[in-house]
Amino acid sequence: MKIDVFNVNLEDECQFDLLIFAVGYEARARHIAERYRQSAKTILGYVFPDGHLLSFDHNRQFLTECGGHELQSNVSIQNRLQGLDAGADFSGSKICLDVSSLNRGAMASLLAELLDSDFFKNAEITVLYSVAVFAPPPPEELDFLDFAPLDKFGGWTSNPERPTALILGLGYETDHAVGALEFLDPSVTFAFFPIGSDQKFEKHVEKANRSFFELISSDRIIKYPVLSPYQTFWEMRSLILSLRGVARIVLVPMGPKIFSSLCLVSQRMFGDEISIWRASGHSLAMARDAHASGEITGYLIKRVDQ
Amino acid sequence: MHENPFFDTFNAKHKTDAEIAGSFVSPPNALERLITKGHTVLSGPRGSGKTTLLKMLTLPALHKWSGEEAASLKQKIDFVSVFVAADRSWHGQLNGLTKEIPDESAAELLGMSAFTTHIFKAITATFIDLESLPQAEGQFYSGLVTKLDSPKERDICVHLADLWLLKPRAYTFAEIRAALSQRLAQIGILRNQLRFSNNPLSNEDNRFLFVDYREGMRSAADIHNHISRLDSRRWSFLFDEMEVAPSFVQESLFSDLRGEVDKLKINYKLALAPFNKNFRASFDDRGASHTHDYSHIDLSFARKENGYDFSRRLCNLMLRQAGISADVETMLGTSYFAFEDDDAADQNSSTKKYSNTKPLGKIFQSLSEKDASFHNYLQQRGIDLSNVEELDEKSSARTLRKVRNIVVLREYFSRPSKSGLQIEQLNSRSRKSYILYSGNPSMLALTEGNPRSLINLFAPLVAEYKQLEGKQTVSGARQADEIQKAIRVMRSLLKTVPHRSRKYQGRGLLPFLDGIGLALHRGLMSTKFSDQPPLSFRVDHGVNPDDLSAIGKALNIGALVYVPDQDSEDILSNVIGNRFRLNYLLAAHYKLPLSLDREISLSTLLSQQASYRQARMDFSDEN
Repeated sequence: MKIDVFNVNLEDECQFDLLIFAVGYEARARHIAERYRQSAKTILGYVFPDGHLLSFDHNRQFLTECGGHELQSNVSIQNRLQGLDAGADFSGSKICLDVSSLNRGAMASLLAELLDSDFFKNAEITVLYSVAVFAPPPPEELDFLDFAPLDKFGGWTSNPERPTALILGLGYETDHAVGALEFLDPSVTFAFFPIGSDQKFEKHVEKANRSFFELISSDRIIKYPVLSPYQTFWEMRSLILSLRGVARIVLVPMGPKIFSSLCLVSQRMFGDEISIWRASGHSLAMARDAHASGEITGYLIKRVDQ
Repeated sequence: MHENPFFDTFNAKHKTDAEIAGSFVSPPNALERLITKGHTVLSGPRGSGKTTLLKMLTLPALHKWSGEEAASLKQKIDFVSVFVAADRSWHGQLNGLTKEIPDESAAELLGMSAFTTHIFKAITATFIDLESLPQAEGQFYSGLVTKLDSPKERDICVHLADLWLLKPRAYTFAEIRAALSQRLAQIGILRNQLRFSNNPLSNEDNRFLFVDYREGMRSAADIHNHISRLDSRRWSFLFDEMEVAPSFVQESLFSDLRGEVDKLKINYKLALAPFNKNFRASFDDRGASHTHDYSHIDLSFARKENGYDFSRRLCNLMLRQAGISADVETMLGTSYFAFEDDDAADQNSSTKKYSNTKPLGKIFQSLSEKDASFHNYLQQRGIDLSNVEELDEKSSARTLRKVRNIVVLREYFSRPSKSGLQIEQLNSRSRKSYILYSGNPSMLALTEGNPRSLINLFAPLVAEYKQLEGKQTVSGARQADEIQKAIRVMRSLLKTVPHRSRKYQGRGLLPFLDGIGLALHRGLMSTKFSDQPPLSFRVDHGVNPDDLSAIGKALNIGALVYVPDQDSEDILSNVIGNRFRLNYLLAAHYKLPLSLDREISLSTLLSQQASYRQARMDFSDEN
């Protein structure tokens, strides 16, 4: 199986056989589904087992209203689709995955199935992301908990003797980048710094990573536009290509979910020598609503199966 | 390994042999002890130079080494070393096996086989390195290396393939190494299969999973020795970063120290963090004493004087490499603090420097005027600061020297008030606070003899000094900037290490250490003047288990430093009953002197903190 990544023009009319979005506690979770509900034959709402608060009830209600179906976190997409239609065939199908409100674990689980399962062979997967209205990070500092390889994307190296190259996505979680750097103790580090439409976000990222910037030189910071994931993918691809012959690459996606999705796709594209690690410091006690700013961005993955 | 412009300078893992050797400074006696016969355990926190030391034992690095001690030490090398690299991301994958694979014993089998294959790859890489060394004649390794012609290389590879159950495409070292990489990939495939099927491991093709690393190592060494006609040659296996290895790997290697391997022919050199809960258990199970099984080298310096020479030499090497001939003392100027912890060291000191016309004397005078408890302290000892020349030289000098650092801090961070001495709030921390910790040897003390800390703290200062063309010392303010940065980074890191207690949930180790720092600070500043405030603590049985675990983590990061008593254990598996101090960078953050002084039990210290009320000292108190 081979996968290719392409740009998408969201102005074009889109038709999807399947649309998957998160039924979580953020209002923006349904923004993309609201826009594309008429263009999707089947809609699945990924329901988190917990966090049923804030906008969760509205999102669930919307799922019902638009004729969508719940996808529980312990059920595969294939099983759910075959439960709806025993003869369902999604090979060569067009799928839309909205990653805006998925956590990294759920995103990994859904993308792993869409990219690996024969049920979705030759599928075209449009990954979309709805930018949130800026809200400052919660004042409480979060632990850098559970830092470990991400399930299904942890990779497996044949060259453990090679030095580690760390590629981080920066977010506004204070000092999580320092935690990753100190924990993995890499020989080389690169960091992707998100640039969005709202400069306030940029300032918070800058502030949250102040100590991290003391530790790495400025030429290792790659600023990327959140609204141009295809361009970001190519920058990441070039970086991985230049490092993979001499180092073991560990990707630690923090910051916008669209960047996390690009990390997962890159891992599948380059294989087991790339490892994704998850820095999870999230707690539902810190849960806050997030509203869509109206900006949507995305990219297209094409599976080419024999 | 070839030089790569991508890699950062502070991490020894990727460095070339020439880079390792070119920047090598041995911690006191460490290399000399490391090359002695027998197993060795090397311990130290992150950045303490364990990887560098291990890599320096390899023949290619030793060959490139031309330092002052090099010639004599190289002559003592009577073994060949295999460096077994490790790091957290790989070990994270091995640890992940037990989470991914339902059958725990199958997960362990795959993990052990991956580790075994990794050791075999390291052995093969060493065989290749030996072939790349210049002709042995006249070199220190002339009795350790003989050039192998192609038939001999083939002969070794045939034996290795048989022993390690490999099918290389050709019988060369390079192809053996390639076949071992393929095997690691195959183990990855088996991992994936195990997620979905019951038992793919019993397949005849997977017999390699059961190859024992000890037998594989011993026989590989024997084969190479035999074909090289060096039958009595010894081998050292250098296992780096064992603290991050999966428990089953750690336990196996630790138990080998008890004699599972032929100690006369094969020695282990294990690098470990200072605290490891598995270590002692591996010995206690067998009811054995550890002292005869291995020697221990500790790379942390509980008493700062022991690390000065090493830090100074390392810093001076940085200066030389930057093309500067001046030494670190000239670059930094002199510290505010005195650093003779040993009374005998200052016997000849004169009291003259405490006269009120001298800078130090003015500080003493100033504190005596605003701090009644200090004034009383001096009175009780018959010391009149306005007349220090008349004092008995020896005893007064000793008293004044003993309290010097405390006086400097109390004076610097306080101001007089109507009701007593007003102590500057600990959270009012300007760059100015850190100027007090600038200069030599304070700056050297702040690095804890830790090469990574030293490089991080000193590299910008060396660059600055070069810009000044060595014409003036780097200013205290500039040094304070770097201290402040280093503290900020360390505190950021401490926030990211989880503390298990609910009390600290979401805030990592930092608030726990802040509790200790704050309590020590209060003991120094917010009570009557004492010439022996507690600056270290002993962990007692009253400390809760979550805090015990936090202390272990803080030790391994280097935020706490173990202060061993005489005859105390080496690698700590239990922190209870042991003495610790804060890392000096953190001590500077809490405005403490850089010394050990008196110890206090941790429970007492933390309970004092809990009951503390914002203190103001009473000038009328008798001391």
